[in-house]
Amino acid sequence: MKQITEGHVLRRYDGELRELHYKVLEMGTLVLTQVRGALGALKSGDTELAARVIDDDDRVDDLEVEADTEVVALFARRCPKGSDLRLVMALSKAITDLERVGDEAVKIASSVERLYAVRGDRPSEVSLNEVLALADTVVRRFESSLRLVDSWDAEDAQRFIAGQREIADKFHRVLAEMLDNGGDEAGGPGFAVNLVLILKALERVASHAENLAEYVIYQAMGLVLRHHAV
Amino acid sequence: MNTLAESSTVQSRESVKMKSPEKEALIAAHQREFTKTIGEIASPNPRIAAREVNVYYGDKHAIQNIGLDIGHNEVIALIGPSGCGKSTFLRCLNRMNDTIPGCRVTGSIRLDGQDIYEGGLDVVPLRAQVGMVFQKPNPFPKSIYENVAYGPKIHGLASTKAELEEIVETSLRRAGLWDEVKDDLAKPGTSLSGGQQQRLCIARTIAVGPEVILMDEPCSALDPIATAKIEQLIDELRELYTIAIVTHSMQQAARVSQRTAYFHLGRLIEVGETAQIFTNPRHPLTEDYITGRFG
Repeated sequence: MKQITEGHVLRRYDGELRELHYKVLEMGTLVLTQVRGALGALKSGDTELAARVIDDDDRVDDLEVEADTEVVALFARRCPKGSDLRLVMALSKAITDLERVGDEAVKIASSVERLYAVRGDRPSEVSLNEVLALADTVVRRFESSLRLVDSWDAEDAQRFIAGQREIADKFHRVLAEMLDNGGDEAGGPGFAVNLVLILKALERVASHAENLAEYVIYQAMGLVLRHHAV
Repeated sequence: MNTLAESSTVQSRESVKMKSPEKEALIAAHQREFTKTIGEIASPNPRIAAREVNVYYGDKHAIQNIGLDIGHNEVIALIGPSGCGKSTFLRCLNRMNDTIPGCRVTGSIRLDGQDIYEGGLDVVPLRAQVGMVFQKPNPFPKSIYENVAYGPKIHGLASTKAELEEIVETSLRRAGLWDEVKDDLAKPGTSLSGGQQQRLCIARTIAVGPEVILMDEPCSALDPIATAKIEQLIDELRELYTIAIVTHSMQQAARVSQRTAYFHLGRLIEVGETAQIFTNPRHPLTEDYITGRFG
């Protein structure tokens, strides 16, 4: 694996690549805060927190547009090649995934608003705890995937991808249990539907995290792993 | 420390003393392995096949053990920093280096299976078969018509005036210049713009029926529009000819070639499909050069 050790002869180019990288990491941090906020609101029933998560999405969208503009400028002005080309491609794709993770956080927050706003009731503890336990794992994985985009460590990325099978199994298990108990939810089928929507959003977040790890491998090795089953 | 230093001195003296043809062969084999080009040097359908080519300018070993095929209907870009040997290698392909005093070429270069360095081979027809376009357009101080007609005349390619006129027209058409000059064929070649002059030189090369066209930085003296026209022309000419182009512009190499060969300090470091070289080169030196990390 090649490590980028030296700067470019044209130093401003290094600065532009670094700036884009920082912007993507900034976006990742903001999106991580959104996901945590949405899940915190789910746990506590804090609908104001859920509303803030939804509002924060505008900032994520702004960052997406800014980062995309930088990508276009880099292609136009620097015609990146080799590892630089793969870096810009990887960052460009990461931008899209991060924006979508932000959307998933908004979906969770919206479900939380629906869950709690109507009657100020709570979903059944059993289902909620199942979803929250899974959510912890998903948040940890999303955090790890952001660290990969920071370090570009392909070996860590490979280990990360190897862990995806386990999380997919967990989703299926929780979903099966929820389907079994669906009709018995304290709040009726409406609660069950919202919890399934949240579960689906979490599954998407985990999938975007896996994409980020794949971009790290693409950047480091030029290997495309998309559409290959884990 | 002293003991170590002494013992290593003794050891190196020992190996010098023990030098033998076998050892020399071992060292040579090691060096060959060490300097091996990354990527596939062979082509399934080679027009030119170069193997273990070395060029010496007096004591200077300018290029070392270069092996490279150039396929039919292929544009290959030779890239690398100044002094890397890419132009030297290009000039080997039609024996242009023969004209440089003190220059010695070893190894083999075959054009359609025929060794072009074989004793007794006439270089004049060779240079018609393997034509060359230079950095600066160099039309003869004659009319546009005469510039193109000169080669076919001296090579005896036309027996009548009509045949010669046909060669001139076809060549100018292939060089994408006919429409611009058809009414001014009697004007001096030097009256054309830089880009037109370069296309005139390409027409002149085409007129003698080459198989291979070598281009040594053909656009470095041209503006972007003239450059784009030459690049479009290169793409069209690929249908009929094999083209090797030396260029300092990586964008140009990426745009016009199917394969790219990266040279560094007289060695062919890496060769591969152009898209692969510019997205995922395998050698760190190639990577440093194409990403602009290497001065």
